[in-house]
Amino acid sequence: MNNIPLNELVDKAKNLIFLTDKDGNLLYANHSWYKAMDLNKNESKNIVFYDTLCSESRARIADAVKTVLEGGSVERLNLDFITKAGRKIYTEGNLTCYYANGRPLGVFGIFQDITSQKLADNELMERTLRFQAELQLANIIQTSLFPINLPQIQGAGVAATVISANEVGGDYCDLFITNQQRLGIAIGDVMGKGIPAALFMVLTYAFVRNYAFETEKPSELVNWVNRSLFPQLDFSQSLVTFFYGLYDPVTKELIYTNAGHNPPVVYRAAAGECELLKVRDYFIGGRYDAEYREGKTQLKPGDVVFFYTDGLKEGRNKSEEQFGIRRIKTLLKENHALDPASIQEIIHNEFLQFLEGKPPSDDVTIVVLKIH
Amino acid sequence: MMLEVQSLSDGETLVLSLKGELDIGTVDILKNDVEEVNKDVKTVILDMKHLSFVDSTGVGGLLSVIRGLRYENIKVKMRNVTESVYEVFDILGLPLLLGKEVFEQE
Repeated sequence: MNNIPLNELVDKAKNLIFLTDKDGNLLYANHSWYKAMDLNKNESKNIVFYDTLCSESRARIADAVKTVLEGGSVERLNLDFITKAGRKIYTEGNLTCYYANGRPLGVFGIFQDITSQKLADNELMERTLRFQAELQLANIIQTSLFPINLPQIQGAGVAATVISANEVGGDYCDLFITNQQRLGIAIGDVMGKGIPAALFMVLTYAFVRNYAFETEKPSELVNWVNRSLFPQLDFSQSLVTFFYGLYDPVTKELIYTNAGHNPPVVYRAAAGECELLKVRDYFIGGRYDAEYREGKTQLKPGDVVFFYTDGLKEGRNKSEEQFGIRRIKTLLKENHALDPASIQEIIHNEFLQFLEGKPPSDDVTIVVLKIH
Repeated sequence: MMLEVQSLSDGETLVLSLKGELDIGTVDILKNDVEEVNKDVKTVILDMKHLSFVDSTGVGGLLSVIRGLRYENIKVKMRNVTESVYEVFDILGLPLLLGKEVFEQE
């Protein structure tokens, strides 16, 4: 055991090992340290250890050395070196006190070169930040597609809101006045979440805007939207639920086509009861040659039509209970007398309270139409 | 909650029993299991007695599975669909798209 070549062992160790005196003069460094510093051991004399460190690390090691010499210990210290060639080396390691004849004479360091890991971390961080910035921009674009300026329509009021679960999502909602002065109400939900869903949401927006001023027949528009989206939806095995309605302020009639979307709820003021808009077909992307049907309903003053996406109905609280359609109907019955913006706000707030602080796992879109 | 798929085959008929939730996090489990369906199988029965939840992504996945099987000339049935799961299928219009005869009770 007496023949263990300790000097050789230390010199050939992969870790960067060094010994300095109290003033920071380098007394010893192993081969790995010299190699990492781009220095030739034989040609390097009188190196002041601190000079090989970055300025922030100098302050850090001065404090650490003081602690160690006073009998404390320093573990997982990060030191960044600047090599002779000007490269930055990131290291992590421990400092311990070096004693001779019972007196502290300097410090002994064993450090690991973590440069490649650090550079990879930095690159990942940069990519993440860049991705976040792109997502934020995408969020701004997607938000701009939401009807912020609500259309004005005679004899009716409308309100709309969206609660996003992520930066971008698959909920779609649009409100506009058609060529024949009807209120167009489009609401939809793309299967899935995030960027793929957002891409389909934007496509849906574009197709609806393109066709809505060409036809006053909801079924025709939905047929066209389906045929336009079908190839991409089929390719990516996705689907879109979509409801499109046209409200005529003169006749107070709502004609609509429902492609697999949650049937909107109508509060009938005369009966004091809620009912669902019954006519519906399957989702967009089911069949290329789908022929969607139309439904119509006569609305009267005081009636409220509530359009929503499934994030509302399926939102779950901490006990995994769903918000559900029954709650929506009860809230409509209780608050039908209010203006559309207040009805929407109350249901929105009730939903957030129901979640008990849990963030919504899916986007939620609400549109309220109230007949005066 | 996860999705468990148990398979039971008698040669020409394969019964896949789904237990748990079919959503964005579990839909690939079903897809992977169906990819392993033997060429001799003529009918696949998806037993949903213990499927407690499905969302639109789950339905999308289910639909691609059914389409894939039909493309291979394999008949597909959905058995013992619970009320809450059927409600989601119904809103999306799945019975209209696939035909009501696809659904059966044991």
